[in-house]
Amino acid sequence: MSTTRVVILLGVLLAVAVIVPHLLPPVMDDWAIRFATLLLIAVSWNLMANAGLISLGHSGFWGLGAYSAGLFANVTQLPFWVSIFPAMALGAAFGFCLAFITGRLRGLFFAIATLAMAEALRVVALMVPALTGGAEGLFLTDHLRPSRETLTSFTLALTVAAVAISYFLSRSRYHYALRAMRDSEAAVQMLGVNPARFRIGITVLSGAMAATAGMVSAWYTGYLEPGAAFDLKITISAQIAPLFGGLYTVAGPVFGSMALLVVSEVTRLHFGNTAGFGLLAYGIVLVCGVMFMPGGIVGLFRKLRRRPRASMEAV
Amino acid sequence: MSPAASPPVLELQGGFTGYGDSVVVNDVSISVGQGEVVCLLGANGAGKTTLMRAITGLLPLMQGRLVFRGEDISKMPAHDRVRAGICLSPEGRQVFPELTVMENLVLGGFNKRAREFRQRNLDRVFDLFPRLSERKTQAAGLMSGGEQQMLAIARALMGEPKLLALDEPSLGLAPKIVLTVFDAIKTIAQSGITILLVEQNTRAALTVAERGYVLSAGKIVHEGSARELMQSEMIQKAFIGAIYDGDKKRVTRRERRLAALAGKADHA
Ligand SMILES: Nc1ncnc2c1ncn2[C@@H]1O[C@H](COP(=O)(O)OP(=O)(O)OP(=O)(O)O)[C@@H](O)[C@H]1O
Ligand SMILES: [Mg+2]
Repeated sequence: MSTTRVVILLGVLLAVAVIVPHLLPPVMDDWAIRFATLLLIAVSWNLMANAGLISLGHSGFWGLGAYSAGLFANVTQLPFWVSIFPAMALGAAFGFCLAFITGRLRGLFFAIATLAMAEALRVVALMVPALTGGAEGLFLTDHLRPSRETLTSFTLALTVAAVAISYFLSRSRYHYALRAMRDSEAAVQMLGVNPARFRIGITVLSGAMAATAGMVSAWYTGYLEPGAAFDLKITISAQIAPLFGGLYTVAGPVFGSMALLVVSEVTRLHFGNTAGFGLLAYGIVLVCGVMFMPGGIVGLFRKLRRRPRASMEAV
Repeated sequence: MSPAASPPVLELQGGFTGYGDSVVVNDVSISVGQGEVVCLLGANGAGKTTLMRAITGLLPLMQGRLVFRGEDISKMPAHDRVRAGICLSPEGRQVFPELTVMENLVLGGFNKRAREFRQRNLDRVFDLFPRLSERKTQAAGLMSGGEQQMLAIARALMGEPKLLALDEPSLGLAPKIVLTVFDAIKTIAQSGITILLVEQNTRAALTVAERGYVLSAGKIVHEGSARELMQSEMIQKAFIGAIYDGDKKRVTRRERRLAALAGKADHA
């Protein structure tokens, strides 16, 4: 696809993202926001994973985004969308700290360090009730909260931006350097790449992106609480979506987030009242998906597309 | 002939380096002149790769001074040394297995100085290794050991080297492929690029090198012109003997590593 066509496509998607929420029934808004916030953290997680940085700290980005947006709005009383700036700034700053503190840690050690840092944030949020409201939580100023339609449009537009960033990064010359860092940072360094700079760059970008998802969720629920804002479940879905959709690919997080939402809704509706059973079914589908589609949904598409081409060549 | 005839491109004076507390390279001084091909010979575990790591910056010097084209680079980080012009084809090749040949090459030319020469350098390496131009879109990990070695050298060349450092390019290759690779090294040398070549394959190394050093247990025990080294009894004793007669442990270490490398290539 040529760049101009991609830009046009992005423009169309952006228009759709802004207009469509105003035409849909409310239940679809709920789906759209859940899909969009999941997609934001999934893209963000995938960016780091692509460079060999497996994060277990995405709930930290999310929580920081949520709290900084909420506190900022409560203090300044500025319109809701302005709070995206402190959210992104704090997410980026946390990303920087993460890269800086973990130094050259890799693999499991890096993952555990990020987990520890995110958990530390949750504990801190509990320990300073004067600022965060502690375990009791904190309400966002009600009259600042946007309508469902507005928030949905805003969030969908964010996802278009996130996917666009991930796409253009995958076309840039930085892509191969990041991709090669996954194999060996020493080997990339021998090609004149400063791995520390790339690490910091990608965690800062990833952190800012994930924080926007937290910001949206804060406005959506209108209420903040450390247990929910720094929930480990966030970190887990941030990695299941790309895994399910297709790890390291641009489209993977998109398909993965959609699929996750569909599976979770279907199992929830189907098993309705027996909630535990719905979760179990959800888990089983995920495990099967990951086991039988190692390349995720994207990998499956690629395989299907390749097969007819091969047989045509045979003719 | 004195190496100081032309000002050296690279000069290491009294270099010490190692891992943690263990000093592996012990008071080593070497110099490489402009346009020269210098080889570094030595048995397994002599410290050749360790010395190479200190020169390319992957290991810090504990002591000593490293000067590259008139500039003291002893404290310069590895990625900046690449920009300065030291490009390495590492031991065991270390190509990026999941990237294609072309992507590996483009990455080799990633540093700022090399970027503007990318097209010229691509033409040059495809000229040098026609095999690679036939396999541009193949994943590097799916290529044979010899092809991967060619790719590793080509990738280093893409970095527009002022000093090309080659660590055991013959490692684990069939004799016929060794010939091909060394022919290419000869061509590179003729194009005027300065080369520092680490080898255990003395015979092959001395066909391209003008001068050499012999490293044993982390010290330089001998140096001289290629001809002198070829005839030297000392070399036979210093490490050819060590490989084939005495030290059984070293033999197995190398064999194990070769097997591991071969296994890795098959696997990928
Ligand atoms: N990463 C490391 N950590 C600790 N010790 C190391 C490391 N790498 C090498 N050594 C030790 O340093 C010594 C020199 O190893 P080096 O790899 O430099 O030898 P070499 O001359 O390159 O041998 P070969 O011909 O087998 O490649 C050996 O005794 C080895 O055990
Ligand atoms: Mg070695």
